[in-house]
Amino acid sequence: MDSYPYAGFQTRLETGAHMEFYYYVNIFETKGLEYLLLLSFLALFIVLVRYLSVPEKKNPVPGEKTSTTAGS
Amino acid sequence: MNNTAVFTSEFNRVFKFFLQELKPRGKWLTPFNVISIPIIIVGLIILYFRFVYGLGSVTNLSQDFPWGLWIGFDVVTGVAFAGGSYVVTFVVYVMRNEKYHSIVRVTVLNGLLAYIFYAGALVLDLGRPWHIVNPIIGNSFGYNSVLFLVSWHFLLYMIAMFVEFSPVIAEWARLEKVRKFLSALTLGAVIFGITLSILHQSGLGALFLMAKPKIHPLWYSEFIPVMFFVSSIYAGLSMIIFEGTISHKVFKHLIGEGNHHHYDEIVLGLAKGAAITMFVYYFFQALLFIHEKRWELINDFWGYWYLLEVIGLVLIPCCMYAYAVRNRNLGIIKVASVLALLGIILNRLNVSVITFRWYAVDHYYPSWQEIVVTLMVISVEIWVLRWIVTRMPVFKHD
Repeated sequence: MDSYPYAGFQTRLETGAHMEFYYYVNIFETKGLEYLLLLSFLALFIVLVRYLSVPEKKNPVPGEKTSTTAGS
Repeated sequence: MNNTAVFTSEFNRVFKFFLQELKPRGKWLTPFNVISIPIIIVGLIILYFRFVYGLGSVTNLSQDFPWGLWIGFDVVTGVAFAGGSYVVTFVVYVMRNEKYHSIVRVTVLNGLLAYIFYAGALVLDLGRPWHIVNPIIGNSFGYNSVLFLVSWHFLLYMIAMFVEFSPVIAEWARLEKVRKFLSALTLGAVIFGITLSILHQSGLGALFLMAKPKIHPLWYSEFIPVMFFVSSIYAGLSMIIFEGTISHKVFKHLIGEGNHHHYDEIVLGLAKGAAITMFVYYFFQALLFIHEKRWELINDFWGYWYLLEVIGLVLIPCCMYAYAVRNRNLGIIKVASVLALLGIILNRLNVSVITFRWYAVDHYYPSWQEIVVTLMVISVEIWVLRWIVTRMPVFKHD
């Protein structure tokens, strides 16, 4: 016998009835935290992109032909 | 000479050339051959039993656990690893970034083989494998099923990738006119392929939407398709870095010295892309963590397991990539790519196998036969890749 740890679903297992359960989700409950996270993400994203923007080191080797694209 | 005679002589030339190319080259007694040949032989024997006596004879699959290692690793994880193909072709053909031209051929080849072998492994897991053609031939299409979308996309994407790679085959067979014609099709195939990829990478995640009560709430969310798609980008990039590292050692003689130097810059560029994508993915995970109030579930084994995946194998490799790009350290990039790949394996297996019916008393563990067949699929793919790379102009062209 399975032991499903979450309320609601247990009823289905005990009665054997195949009933669709739904959970009321208040989408605004965590909205404040989500906005704070979003703002911090945007700020951190700018920091990350600036951090990663290092100039490319040029290291050409004369006379060497690089391979081309699959289609050309 | 009329057209028929020209065609016949050309066909004979290509046929003879192909037969000649089939002959083995190089040493037979290599470490890879010594390990892979017994695996392939044992794998073939197991597959004989699988197809003659059914899935139950070689796997631990059951009615409660109908999907195991073959789906969880070969198909769901393997397809994520093949994501590098659509990312690189997008960057090269759509964004017109010439820097990555030199890796397009090998990346497309890797993607094509990954789809052929890993998506092909789907056949092994079907109770009635001959039904694989049903979604294609219209014998009960099943429009409402996500598998309908995934199966069509796999087929079309494999064709698109074959078209993308076909100029290399034509160049190898010295069919110049055919190569020019196929090259003209590339851009269309690339755009078509990218569209398909985005949809079926997320489609693989959508397969699990109907299993809400069976997947642990730390891994289930309505956004699984988005998470699968975003993670496939850095999975693909990490796989290119990982495979490239091996290829540049094993096939060193096939790659020009200039490409070796150029490759370092390519790896740094790929690592940069992976770092940014992982950061975005980590943000999505954090958003889900808050939205679904997952902190309520974090204080048990599954919670620690989740933290290992999200912090240990997403956030840490992300930081390693960023640090390594900043300091131009290729060694750290290689380690980060391995960690990122382990994170993808863990994530896909968590969703499809490990936390699937986590509350059940009897859990699914793959049998040794399932593991050997998985290793066989990987080994055969590497054999085919090696055969193609040592014959066709994949790293270099004339």
